[in-house]
Amino acid sequence: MREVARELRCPVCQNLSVADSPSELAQEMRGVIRERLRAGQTPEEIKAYFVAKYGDWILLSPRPGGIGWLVWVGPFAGAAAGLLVAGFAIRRWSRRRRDAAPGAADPALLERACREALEKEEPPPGAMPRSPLETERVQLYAALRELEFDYRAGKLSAEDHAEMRRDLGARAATVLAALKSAPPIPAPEPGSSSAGASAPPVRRRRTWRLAAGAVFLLAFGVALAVFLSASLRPRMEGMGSPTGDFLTGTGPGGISPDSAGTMAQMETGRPGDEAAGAMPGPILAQIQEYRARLAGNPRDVAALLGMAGLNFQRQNLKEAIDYYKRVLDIDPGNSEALASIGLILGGAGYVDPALSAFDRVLAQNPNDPLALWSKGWILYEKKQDYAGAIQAWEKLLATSRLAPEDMDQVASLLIEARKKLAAPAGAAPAPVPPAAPSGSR
Amino acid sequence: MWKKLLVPFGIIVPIVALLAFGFTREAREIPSPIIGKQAPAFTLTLFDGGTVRLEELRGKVVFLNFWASWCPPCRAEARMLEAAWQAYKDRDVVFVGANIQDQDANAREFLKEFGVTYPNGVDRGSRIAIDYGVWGLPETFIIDRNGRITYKHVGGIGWPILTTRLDEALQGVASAAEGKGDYRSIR
Repeated sequence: MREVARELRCPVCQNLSVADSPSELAQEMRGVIRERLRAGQTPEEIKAYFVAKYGDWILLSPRPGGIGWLVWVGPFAGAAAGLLVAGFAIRRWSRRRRDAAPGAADPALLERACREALEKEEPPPGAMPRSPLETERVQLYAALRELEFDYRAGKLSAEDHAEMRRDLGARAATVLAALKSAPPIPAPEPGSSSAGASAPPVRRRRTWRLAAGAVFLLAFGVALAVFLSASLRPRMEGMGSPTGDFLTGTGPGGISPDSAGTMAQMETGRPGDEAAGAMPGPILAQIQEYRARLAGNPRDVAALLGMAGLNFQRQNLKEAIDYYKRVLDIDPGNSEALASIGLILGGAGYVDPALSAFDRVLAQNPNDPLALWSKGWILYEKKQDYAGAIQAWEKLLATSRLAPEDMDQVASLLIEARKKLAAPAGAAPAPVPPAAPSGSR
Repeated sequence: MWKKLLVPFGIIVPIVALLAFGFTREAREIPSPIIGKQAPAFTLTLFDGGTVRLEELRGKVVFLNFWASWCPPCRAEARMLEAAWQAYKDRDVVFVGANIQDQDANAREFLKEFGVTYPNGVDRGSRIAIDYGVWGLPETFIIDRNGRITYKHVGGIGWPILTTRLDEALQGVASAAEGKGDYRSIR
């Protein structure tokens, strides 16, 4: 079964096979595969069935035929072409190296170069225009003269001198040979335009190259700007990274990153229930549903609270506060909105406004679980008022029916708080928040 | 000189063009091969206990809509679909709704909320949906009197498209391409 599933693409995922995808559709497709295998169909027949429904798209490895043929052959063709180009390039380099190798030089020319270098006194540079080859010859001659001078001054050993002389001489000989075979502009007439005539093509070519490069860069930039901006879709508000905080578990201080937890807590007023799975898909659907409801009725308190909760859980604190404020505009005493705003404010360091928000909720309902929990947490975390935290949490445990996991978490926090209360304030280092913020609910 | 230009223009431009093509395509879109083909047979158990068999609807145009209660575009078009059903039910057109990847209670609530009266049933395990190559929601198929799929629409279908395609199907005309509106990928 897995063999077939592994070769099929999951239609609702990105680059996952039906075998690897956890999505509901992939599960159902695996069910279809299992049924068909049991009914005696071959893997090929089953794949053909899915291709008939979803097209070639469904196959993870494209068929060797048609456009798929390109995908199969393309990489090999590309690699072969690359190897060929590399081969040619290497051959060209090695040939150039060989041309310059000393062995290739004509011994007569070599001798002449060494002789001339010592005899000939060069006209001062700039006195007459030179072709590039001439310039190179003059430089090599100068180097040879210097070598002789160094040798005579005793700075070089005989072997070094001989080797370097052979080397430089060979290069000079090559240049001489080139000069002889193509005497460029034989008579450098002083003041003539010969230098000017040889320069423009080079310069023009360079300008051309620059222009082509600039045009290419410009086109590349424009293409990038146009296509990238056309292809990027704005992320859904409240949906940061589709995996990010879900995988890393970085929720707001004390708030479970688990969407189900937050939602459950928002709806029932009790701290998070981590039983239900948090998949981005349902969250997205949830957001869309709230949007749709708010579009129909902007004063839909449940939808506003839902949006706020999702934003809170996604750390979009500003949006969360905005939604909670809209709730308070409609229902000024809404305990969930008040307590949540308090929790956000407290988490951001505004401890006193937070505590007064909790107290407002508790004045209406002294047993409000969210307010009790939040008050305890802010007292514990921000004020290091362990006695106050213990009092709030004990009341929470005594008055509210919590899910077993939540009960355990509150209980373990209570133990921590009691420990901290018992330890002398000076001896204890800076208060360490309980294990993980996500587990602290 | 032209040789030098060969490298940037002969190699880099095609690569950039390829990337541009890839970037501007909707990666999630799956072109359907089943338009114009014979519609896969199905038997749908309805919420009210009855069943609908596609074969029994030969001679009528079938408007088959896959939906789920958690899918906002499905909610958005629900009332319009009911209105279309009222407009077409005397013209040899049958509307059928197939609920997938949903919970029974939520689905029933949805039907009640939008006052849906055309036959609706649960497609358990999305078997029918997979048979039709469904990948988005809502997804709509129009099947003509001979049982041939004449049109497929992924996402919300507007009134103009719905009526045009239904009228076409009544005349036995198949669309060349599928349509697309606001959709949710199924789960």
